[in-house]
Amino acid sequence: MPSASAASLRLRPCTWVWIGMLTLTAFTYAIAQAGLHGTPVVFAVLALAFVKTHWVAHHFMGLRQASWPWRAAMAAWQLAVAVGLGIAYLNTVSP
Amino acid sequence: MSAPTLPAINSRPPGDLAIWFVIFAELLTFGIFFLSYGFTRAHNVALFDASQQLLDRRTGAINTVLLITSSYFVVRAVAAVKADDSRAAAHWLFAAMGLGAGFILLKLNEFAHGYAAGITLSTNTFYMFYLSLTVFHFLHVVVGLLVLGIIAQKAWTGGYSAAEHTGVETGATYWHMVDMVWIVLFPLVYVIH
Repeated sequence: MPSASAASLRLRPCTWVWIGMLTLTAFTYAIAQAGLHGTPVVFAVLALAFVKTHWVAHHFMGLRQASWPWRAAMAAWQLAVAVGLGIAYLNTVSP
Repeated sequence: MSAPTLPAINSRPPGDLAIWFVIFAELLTFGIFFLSYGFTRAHNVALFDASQQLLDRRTGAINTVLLITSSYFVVRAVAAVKADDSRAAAHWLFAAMGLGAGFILLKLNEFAHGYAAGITLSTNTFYMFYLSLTVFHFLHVVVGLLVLGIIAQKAWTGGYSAAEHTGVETGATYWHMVDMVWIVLFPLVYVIH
């Protein structure tokens, strides 16, 4: 049985998601401030953004517990925008 | 020994069904906007990259933190309503509105600086997209704040309960959509090049 102090330190899942999103935002800002660029950097930053949108949809908006067509519709939007932007930035990134 | 319980799968997501049609329509609109930005940039790479360097990325990052945290507070508000603590829900919603107001102030400051520097929709193609996208999103933040204000007021007066909380979930879902759009908009317009 967990002690009272351990139980009080246990964070809600939504709090972990919030901390995770702040961490990914810090990574994105650090990449921007370091002046990093190039195709892998662009894809990495886009990937971080779409991980965050997935977390918002599933954990904050509650799609995690919705039936599959709702989750599929959201995933389709995320995939379409991510892949479209990936194509748009392919070979057009500063060397 | 009882079997572990899994989260219940509902046929519909939280909130009113109509808000989800609104949300998908909004996401479709913003998605087309984002792809238009990306493919227009592909034909004007030097112009877009040079113009983007003049944007204030620090303020953009702070705004991301404000909206993400505001969204988290709204999640806590919905959880409080489900726990039959309507007053606590109102506190979380007022805090979320405070952060949303912070976003508004920083954005107005950014727009004012841009306007003072002579940046308008006709300055160049990049700034046309930058202003269109950020002002369009800004208007959604304003609407979202009004929605949060309405549900916060109702929560404050005990209008929601564990048994009846569709209204607060509907408003919360809209606010999360506003957050989600900014999560893509910030790296796209301010960071990647």
